Amino acid sequence: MALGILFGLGLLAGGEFLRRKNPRIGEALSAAGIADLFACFLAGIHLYRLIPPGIGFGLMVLTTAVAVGLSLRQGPIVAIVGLIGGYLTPLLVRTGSGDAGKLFAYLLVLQIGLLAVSKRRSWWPIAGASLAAGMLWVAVWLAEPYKAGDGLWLGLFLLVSAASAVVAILGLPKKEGSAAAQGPVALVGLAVAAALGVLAFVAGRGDFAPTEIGLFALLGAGALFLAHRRADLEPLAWVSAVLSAALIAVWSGSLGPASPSAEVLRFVYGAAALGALFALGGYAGLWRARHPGRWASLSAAAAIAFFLIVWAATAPRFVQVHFGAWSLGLAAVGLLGALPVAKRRKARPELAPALAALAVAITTFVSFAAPLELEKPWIAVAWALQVAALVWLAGRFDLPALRTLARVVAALVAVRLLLNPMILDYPIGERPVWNWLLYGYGVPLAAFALAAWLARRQASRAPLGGPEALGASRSARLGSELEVGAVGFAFALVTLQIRQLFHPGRLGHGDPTFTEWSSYDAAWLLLGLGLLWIARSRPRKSFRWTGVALFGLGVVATFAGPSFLLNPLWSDSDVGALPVLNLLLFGFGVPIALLLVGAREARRRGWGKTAKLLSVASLVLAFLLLSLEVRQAFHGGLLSQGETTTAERYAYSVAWLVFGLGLLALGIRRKSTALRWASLAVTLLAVAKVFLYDASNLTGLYRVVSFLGLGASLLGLAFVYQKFVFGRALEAEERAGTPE
Amino acid sequence: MRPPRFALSVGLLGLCATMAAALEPARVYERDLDVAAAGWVRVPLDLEALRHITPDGADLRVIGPDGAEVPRRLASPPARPGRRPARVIDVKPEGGAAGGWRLTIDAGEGAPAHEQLIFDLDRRTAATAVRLEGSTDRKGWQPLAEGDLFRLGEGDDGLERTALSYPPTSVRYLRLAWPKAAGFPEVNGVELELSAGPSIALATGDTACERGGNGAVSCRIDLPAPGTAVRRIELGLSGAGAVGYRLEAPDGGRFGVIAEGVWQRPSSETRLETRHLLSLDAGVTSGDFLRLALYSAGTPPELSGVRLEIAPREVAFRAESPGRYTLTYGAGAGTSPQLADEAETNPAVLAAGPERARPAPPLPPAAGPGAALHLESFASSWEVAAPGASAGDVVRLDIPDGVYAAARADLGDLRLAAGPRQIPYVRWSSPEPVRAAVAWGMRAEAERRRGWSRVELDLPAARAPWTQVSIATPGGPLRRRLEVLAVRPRNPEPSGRETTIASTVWECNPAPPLPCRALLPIEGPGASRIAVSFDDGDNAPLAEVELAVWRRRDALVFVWPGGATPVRLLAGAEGTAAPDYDLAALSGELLGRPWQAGELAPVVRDEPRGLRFLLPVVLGLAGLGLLFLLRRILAAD
Repeated sequence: MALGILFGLGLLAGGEFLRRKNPRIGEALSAAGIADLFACFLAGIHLYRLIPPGIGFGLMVLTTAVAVGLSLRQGPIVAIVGLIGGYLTPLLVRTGSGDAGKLFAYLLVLQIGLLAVSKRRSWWPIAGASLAAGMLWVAVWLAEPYKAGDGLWLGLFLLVSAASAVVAILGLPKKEGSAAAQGPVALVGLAVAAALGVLAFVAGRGDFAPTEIGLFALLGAGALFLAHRRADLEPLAWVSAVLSAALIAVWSGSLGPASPSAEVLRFVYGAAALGALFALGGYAGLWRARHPGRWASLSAAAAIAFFLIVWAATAPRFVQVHFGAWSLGLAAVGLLGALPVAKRRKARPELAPALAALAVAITTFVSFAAPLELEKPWIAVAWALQVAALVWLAGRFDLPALRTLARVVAALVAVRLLLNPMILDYPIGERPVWNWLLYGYGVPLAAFALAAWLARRQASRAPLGGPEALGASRSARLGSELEVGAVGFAFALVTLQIRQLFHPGRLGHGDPTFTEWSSYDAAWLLLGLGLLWIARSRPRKSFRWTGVALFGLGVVATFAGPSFLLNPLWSDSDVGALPVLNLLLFGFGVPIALLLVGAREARRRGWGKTAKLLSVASLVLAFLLLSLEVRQAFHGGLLSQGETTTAERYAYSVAWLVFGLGLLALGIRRKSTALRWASLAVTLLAVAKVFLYDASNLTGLYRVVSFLGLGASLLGLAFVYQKFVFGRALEAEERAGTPE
Repeated sequence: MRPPRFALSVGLLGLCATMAAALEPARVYERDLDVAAAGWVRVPLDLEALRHITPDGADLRVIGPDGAEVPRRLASPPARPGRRPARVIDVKPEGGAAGGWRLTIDAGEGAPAHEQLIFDLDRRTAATAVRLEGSTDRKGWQPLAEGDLFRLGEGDDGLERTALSYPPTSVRYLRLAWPKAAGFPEVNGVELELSAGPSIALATGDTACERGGNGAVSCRIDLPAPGTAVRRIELGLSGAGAVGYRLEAPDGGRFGVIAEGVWQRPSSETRLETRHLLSLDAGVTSGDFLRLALYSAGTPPELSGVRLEIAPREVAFRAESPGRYTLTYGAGAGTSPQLADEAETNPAVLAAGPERARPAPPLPPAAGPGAALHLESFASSWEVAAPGASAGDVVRLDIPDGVYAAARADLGDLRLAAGPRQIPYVRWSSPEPVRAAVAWGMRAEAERRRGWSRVELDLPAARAPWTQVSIATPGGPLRRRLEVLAVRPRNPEPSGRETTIASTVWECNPAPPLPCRALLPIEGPGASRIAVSFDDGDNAPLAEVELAVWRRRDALVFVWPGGATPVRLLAGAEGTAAPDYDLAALSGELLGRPWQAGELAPVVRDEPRGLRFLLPVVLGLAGLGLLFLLRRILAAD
């Protein structure tokens, strides 16, 4: 071992001797000497046990110090060997004390030494490696030997490490884009962000003790200050705010219903302190910043995020706390903060985005004030109100970012209210109409409608051409999207209210009945028609296509539900005992009327094929209604039960023939070929039934009367056709062919 | 106006509270058991133990000599083995002043233990004061029993079946001294009821009878504890003429029939005292009582005495070593590991020592105050009183109809609170139902449907959890399809306001004086009225119908907080999710403790729901003011 040490010292001497003659060989010899000394001391400690660990540790620290000192004279290789040896020494030479204070004090001295060398020689990669190694040591310590009280030392180490990294770049040019400063500044930014991240872990490991949270806040404040002082480190402010919010969110997750009140209060104070730090820090930063909007946005976002985290974590516990009032109070504070910004806005136009950000915060807190006093499902309502506020502010400031934000919030609200199956399990009570659905969907509907109107107005007021035109087109598109959202809420509101009416308080349970499904059909068809009617005075795609979609949905649902799945013929639905005026009339009659209105609307719009399709659909439904009414007349409310009598069979033939004749009369009166074709189809069906079915199934007088009736009807038909259809056609031809 | 039933419920609860106030504090019971050798051990539990362990026996623990817990299982009572034919081998006149005859009966070679002699007699006989002896060799006779022949509650075939019970024995020969007053014993056949093992016999005086509106006498026979397996019931009846009976046990909020029949007794001017025996195979009961309905064509019968034979329960475990084991049970004893389903080999049946009691440990902190509440969210509240309860006592508060009317159907919005803090509770449903509404002597009115008639009954609270409907009419035979319809409030279906919730074909041909009765399970809540429709066909509508509706009996069990802050029951918060208390983990422990009955004072607050929106509306208006200011600021330039 002695020979090894002597050899190492010899190598160091050789390196020093050759430094001037051949610097590279000298540097290599010195690095080898340092490595040899490390190896010898390590062997003395662990292999031969000649050196006690304490003394061995001291010798290796001394070797590291020598290496760092020599590197100034000899080059970076020696510094790297020293760095490796220095950071590995505590791992290789375990003194067994487990004292975090001593270890991290040593690491701190090592780090400061290496940073000093790096700054002097501009060896920034070595500085980065040293900082990373320090962080790694904290992570290692957290994983294994960590014990209560270590958080202070770990936190101090991280804090001073970050501070020393900042000191290392003092004096570098502050201008953005300065090539000389880019690397080290980025390195320091990373180091501070990493220190904050690791410190967040330290705080979590220490059960969010005040010491660790205090150190975290101190580092956060430093990061905020640094970001304010150096424009090229501005993102650091946002990174530290996000890390702080994440830390608070994790902290809130650690609280349970059984957590002591003192612990919850500690959380509230901690979150309030960090929130205030970033909200006030951001506000203070906006005054001398090159981009005041970014700082004001940071202030607004931090205030909102921290407030919401505290509310979500503690509202169920502190029900006597009126978070709505607090929210309004924060809005008032925001208003006070906005006043000086507004006053200077004229003199400093760059303050406009900052004012916009503060206005967003104010409107957000105002939107949340009332819903926070109610249950959690109301939060979506608050966000919906905020959409309208954002669109208004976007118009005021002409900021595309606000429109984007409005779009994102609107999408979140839409997803929350339209694609959230948990709404079916909300405890909304058993009251029809005046229940949470009315406010929970009604308020967002109104807010989206208002926002759409504002967006449309902003688009219409923009001048044509130029960059304003682009903003106008974006506003119009946002208006369309919001209109679609409003229609979606109207659809959900109507549908869920019907569901509530039939399944009070149990929206997610129970199959739909015939009446319930019929109500959906009628409501969707009416909604579709209403939207198409609105689209007449306001010719917008959003109304037109949502109207078409809802009307189409109503048509499909009518054929799928009352006509097929829930057809009373096989679904055991009780349609009521009254003839004609029963649920069949509601289930089929209302859709028939609405389909006819829809067909008329389609004709007005020039959608000929759609109009024909709707007319045919209404005729099919009318035929179904007629047949089912006949069955109801013979069976009462339950159509699926009971034998089919001869009289009933005959009645179908009569009803179909009369229906066919009625269609013919209507076709002649309205000169509609389509109606006459429909009449022919129905009549042929009746004829087919009489010949193929009645002939074998009717007995006695019914069979005679059936054939007689059919014969008479066909004769009558022939007469009517000859006189009113073909006769008139001939007359017209003759008139056309007669010369004047 | 508050329905009188609510006041009645409150009054009954008050009565219960007074009775419960004298209850003993919670105790843990211990018994020593000396085990001589390692192996399987069975310990029969006596009446005291049955009274103190919980119905599911989860609190029964076996502690070994080394202090370690020994896995154990509670053995179910053995099934009834059945009957065995016997033979009358000799009938001889008996000398002496009393006279009479002596019947010798042969049980057969190798007869297993038997405990009852059952005769098929040719004619109606009232043999009193008979004497029974047993012998293995027809030489030495040992007395077995003395008493009257019981009438068995079975057999509508005209035969008279009577019986005599005696302690379980394996003797081959039985000798019965038949009194001269009963006439010659014209015996068609004899059977022996085989013994199902030892029984615990107890005469219970805890029977309360009341006369119903239909003339029937309804008696409540209290059992020593829930979870009792009743083998036989001996009943003493006073009166004259035939008596119909129905014995029912509560389970899951409904009554189920476990025995019914007719005891044919001679009609006479004078009152007869007769004794009757009901052999049951009902298994373990859920509740702690049985309900006996007695029907008679003439004077209502009186129940003069009841004697129960219950099957003892046994705890079985495998002793790894000899020594002193300890059985513990009762409140706070904790729960025990269950023994795997493993066959017992040659178990030693041992008797445990006398019972020792010690105070139960206090309940864990989970029973203490919970999270705070938005009191404004609840539309109704009642003050809860528990006379005699002090802090830490377990209180059981029955939910009356008035609370069902104010609360949500799922009862998820019920909260107990002292000030703003919640009091955690466990919701417990009794196996015993509560009769919510009854009407006697109703005439079925013709319906719009041809051939159908109906009776209707208003229910006190539409949201109560209805469980069972009972329809009865005197006499028979009867065959009708019947439908039970719930008339639901605020149902928008024009013709669907009535929903069929149960239907059956009611076929009944009872022996008089037993009336026809149908018990149908129904599911609540949501009906404000119940209608029963009968498909009479070509028959006349029923002239006299008894209709009764039962509901589940729910109670909130909680720990009384004490202090000056009044305890309130809150209901009527539509947007509130059902509570989730840690206390639910202690429900077994909580329900096993002695409890005080809680009672409700009348509604003290029934505020309009709109008030809960007051603060949000005020805040909203203030917010609008701020927005107006913001608009001014933004427009200032």
